Amino acid sequence: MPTDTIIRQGDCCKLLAACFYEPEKDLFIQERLCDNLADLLTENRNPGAARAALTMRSHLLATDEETLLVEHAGLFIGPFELAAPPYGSVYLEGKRMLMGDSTMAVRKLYRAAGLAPDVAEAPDHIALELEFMHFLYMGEAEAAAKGDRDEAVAYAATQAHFLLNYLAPWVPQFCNAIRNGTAGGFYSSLADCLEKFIAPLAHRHRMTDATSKTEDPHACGAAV
Amino acid sequence: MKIKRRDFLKLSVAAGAAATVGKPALHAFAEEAKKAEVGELPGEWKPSTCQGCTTWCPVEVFVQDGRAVKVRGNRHSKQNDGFVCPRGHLSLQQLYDPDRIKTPMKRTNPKKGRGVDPKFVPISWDEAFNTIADKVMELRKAGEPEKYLLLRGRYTYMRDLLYDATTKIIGSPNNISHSAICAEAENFGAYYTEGMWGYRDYDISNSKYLLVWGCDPVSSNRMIPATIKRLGDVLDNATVAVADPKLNNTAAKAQEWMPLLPGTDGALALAIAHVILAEGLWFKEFVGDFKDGKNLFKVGETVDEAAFEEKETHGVVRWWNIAVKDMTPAKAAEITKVPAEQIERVARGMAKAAPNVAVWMGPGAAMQVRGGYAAMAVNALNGLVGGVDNVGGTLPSNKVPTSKMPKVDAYQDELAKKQAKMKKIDQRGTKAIPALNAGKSGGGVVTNNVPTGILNADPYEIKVAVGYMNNFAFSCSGAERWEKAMEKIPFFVHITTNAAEMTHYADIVLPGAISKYEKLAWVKQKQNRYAQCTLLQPVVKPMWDAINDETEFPWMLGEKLAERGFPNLIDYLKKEFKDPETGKEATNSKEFTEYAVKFYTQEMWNGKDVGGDKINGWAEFRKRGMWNSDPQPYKKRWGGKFGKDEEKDGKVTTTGTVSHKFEFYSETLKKALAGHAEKHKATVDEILEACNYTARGELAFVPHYEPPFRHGDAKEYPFTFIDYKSRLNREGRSQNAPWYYEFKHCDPGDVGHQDSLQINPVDADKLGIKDGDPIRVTSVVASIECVARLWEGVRPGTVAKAFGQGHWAYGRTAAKDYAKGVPRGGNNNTLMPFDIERLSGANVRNGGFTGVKIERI
Repeated sequence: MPTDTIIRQGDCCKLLAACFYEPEKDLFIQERLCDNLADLLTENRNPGAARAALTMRSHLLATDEETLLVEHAGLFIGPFELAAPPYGSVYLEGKRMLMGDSTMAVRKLYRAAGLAPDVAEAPDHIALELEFMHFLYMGEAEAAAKGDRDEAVAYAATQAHFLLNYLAPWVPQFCNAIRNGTAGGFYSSLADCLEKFIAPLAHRHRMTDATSKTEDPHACGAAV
Repeated sequence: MKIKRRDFLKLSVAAGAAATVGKPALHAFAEEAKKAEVGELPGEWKPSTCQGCTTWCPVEVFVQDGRAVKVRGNRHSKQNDGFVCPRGHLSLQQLYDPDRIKTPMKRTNPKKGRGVDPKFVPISWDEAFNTIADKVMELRKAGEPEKYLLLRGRYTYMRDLLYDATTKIIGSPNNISHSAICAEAENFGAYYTEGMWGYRDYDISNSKYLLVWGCDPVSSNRMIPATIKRLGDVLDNATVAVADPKLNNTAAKAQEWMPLLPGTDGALALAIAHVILAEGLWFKEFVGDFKDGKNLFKVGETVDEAAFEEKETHGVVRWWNIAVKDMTPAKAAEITKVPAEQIERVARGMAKAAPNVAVWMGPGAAMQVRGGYAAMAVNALNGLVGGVDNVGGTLPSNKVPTSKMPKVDAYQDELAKKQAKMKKIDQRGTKAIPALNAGKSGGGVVTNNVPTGILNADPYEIKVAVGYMNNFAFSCSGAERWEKAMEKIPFFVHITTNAAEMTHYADIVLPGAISKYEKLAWVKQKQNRYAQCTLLQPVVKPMWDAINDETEFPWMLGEKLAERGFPNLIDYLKKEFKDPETGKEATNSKEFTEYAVKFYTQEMWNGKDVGGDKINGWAEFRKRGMWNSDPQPYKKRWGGKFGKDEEKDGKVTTTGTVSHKFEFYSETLKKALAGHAEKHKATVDEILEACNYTARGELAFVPHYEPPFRHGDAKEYPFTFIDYKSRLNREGRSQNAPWYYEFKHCDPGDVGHQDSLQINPVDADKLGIKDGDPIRVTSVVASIECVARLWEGVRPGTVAKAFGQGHWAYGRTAAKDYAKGVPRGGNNNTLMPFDIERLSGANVRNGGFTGVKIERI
């Protein structure tokens, strides 16, 4: 896969990660968060996710910041509803408990990559996992740009392992929880966007796994 | 989480310049030097303290890769011998609960009420404390700092700083503790017999007879792991009897279970006393004897007091004459429904085992509308058999040598000094609420009466309130009164781990630390003759940005008040809590916390000989996590030391009993009641009438039987409701833990994943109710819904239900539907009406004071 495509995938991860932080409407608009996301997804041939990003944009423009904050808190922070806990272990281990074995496995991968979470959050928070994916994509792109094929493949393999085992398996449930926990709007579209972004990635990686060791793990083509 | 940097939203290097991609800028991550892999490090047992109940177990937490995974008792503990109870393990699900408060938040919807979404949004710590400080300063500027209210829940002994000092320096008298919803009436019973306002220690390893009354020591009360470990041996070596209307764990194993009717404890205790006295079986070395050695205690007959010579006690003959002589086992059997033969057997068994007898009094015997005298009657039995301060009996605590809170006077301005002396919002000491803690009118807190004060603005309104580690809108009977009161408070700050029912009414919510895992503090407790001082320590990094409520809140507020021209609080904290080792003043809230803990505990580790464990320095104290005292000596208060008089400035003050003896005729209560009556220009009889007691005349000064007071007539509400504590209750804080429901069957008669009302099958049959039927239970104040559980462990006419479930907030697992305010199961405190035991100020939850009716739904 061309380096530009890899970088775009990485940026999609980063921008999606940003969406799970406390919403700052002006900042999001000034930095063209949703437009950039839509553009990246379009360029990477994921029109479904791109459409969701454009819908996010409309909702962002039409919603005041306090409403966004209230919705964001209700979904991801609490204190009461926490309709969509943004933590992998809640879904992967089904015990509504944090810091499970899956969380430790995620941390192990971070550590292997030379990273440690630097925020007061559980390591398997969605924003951290998406940023980690961004980190891996950028590592792959850099290695590819330097012509270090082995390192690029290693980054891609970590991506595949992380995505297939620790991120993709809980994203659909998480996104459903978001949609059920909000009456439409920005976060509902974000759930659509995230799900449509992750599903084809996971599909490709699974196909790559199945066909075993293809030269380019991103080579399986078009978006869903 | 807030976005740290704008560049996180920028796109990476543009296409075409890919050759210079470079490493991505990290946002939520930092680079980490390569260390051992996760899972490879061996892990470590780190000491702390469990606050799941008031045993306050010294524990150790196994931490690997920063994750707490297992809990055990502290290996140095002479209290729990290195073991914990189920609560110890359950707490892991509190620590790792995704529903915890993660950040300071503020309400954006000004309207308050159940079912109204507060619309909380995250705010910074700075904004939170600026707002709180502004509100406090508004009160001070208006000259009304008394309208600040501090509501304390479960605490550590760092409580002084937030509960006491902060409130007084601001200038309010309203530091209100939760103590009266714990078991103040129990302390009343102990104080007005043996002069100790405090819970007893039980030397059960040496008991030959153990009578457990109104509690289940393997499930609750103050020495749970110790009792779990010892009960088997006690059953082998001694007789165990249980007086409790419900078959609890201990009763299920005991040789005797006396399922008395709720609220008849006084009659049962008197009948046991009656047998012991009438049959001449009292422990003479403690109580004394008739001068000529001939027993004159005959059923129904008055005895000449002069004929008896007492040793360590006071008033045994008068007690007999006033309250005991007519309470025969037969009469008590009619009242209590415990067979007369069983009463006689238990009394004789106790007397035979004397003095190695412990009567273990729990809240069930005391926390009743008229429970003060029942508590005295039950504790009086310890005196009759000489088990007080004796081998195998009941004991006071050894001293824990901690520092006293430095005086605040120099930091209170004139306004604070004046307003802090005003009447308190809980109306303690008013005519109908004597709250006679340690002999003083209005000496004790009346926690559950606070809503009365708030709702009626009597003595004045409350404008700013701070609550911590509490949830009175769930944990006090008549819980809905608290909801109404909270609705009325214009500005409320809740420091809490979970969004509780009270939090729903908060204007600002602050994330509190889970005390066992994230807080630095200390507590003291005693068990098995040993007192302990044990540290709570942050064994893991806090999951989110949680603060130490009792130390960091005052510090952070103090800084903000100083910015507003009121430096008194921060000055007090800085100047009075310097590091005892270096003399340095703290520069931030974390340093302050550590210096303050060092300040309070220094005598146990600074090289002074205070007895007990020898600990060499602060670092060693933190590593061990605890200090044990020497064993409590026996008979310490024998020889007339149950009370003492001290003269200061020409005024004599008595601590303990007025007679300095163990009192069957309570001169101490007589003095206290007389003082309260005089204050209100009333007679003692009028006070008792106002307090809903039936006693008049001399009966007021002796342990006696009071007929139980019941809300709801027997015709409309035919069943008497029994509230009991689950062995999984970490007080009110474990109901969002899934294990709570999974293992609920460990409470006798209960079923996992169900909130059960235990009904005798005979009653259920009459009502056409089958096991597992959904039911509605209704009292005079409210209805709750739960599930019928048919069980013979409650006698016909009574029904029992564990406190704990019925949350409409607290988290996804605890509540059924928070948005609609729908509880999961039913809260006993919704069903039970507001009432208080007025002599002690205690909240009522026992004694059959709630009549209910049951319908299938």
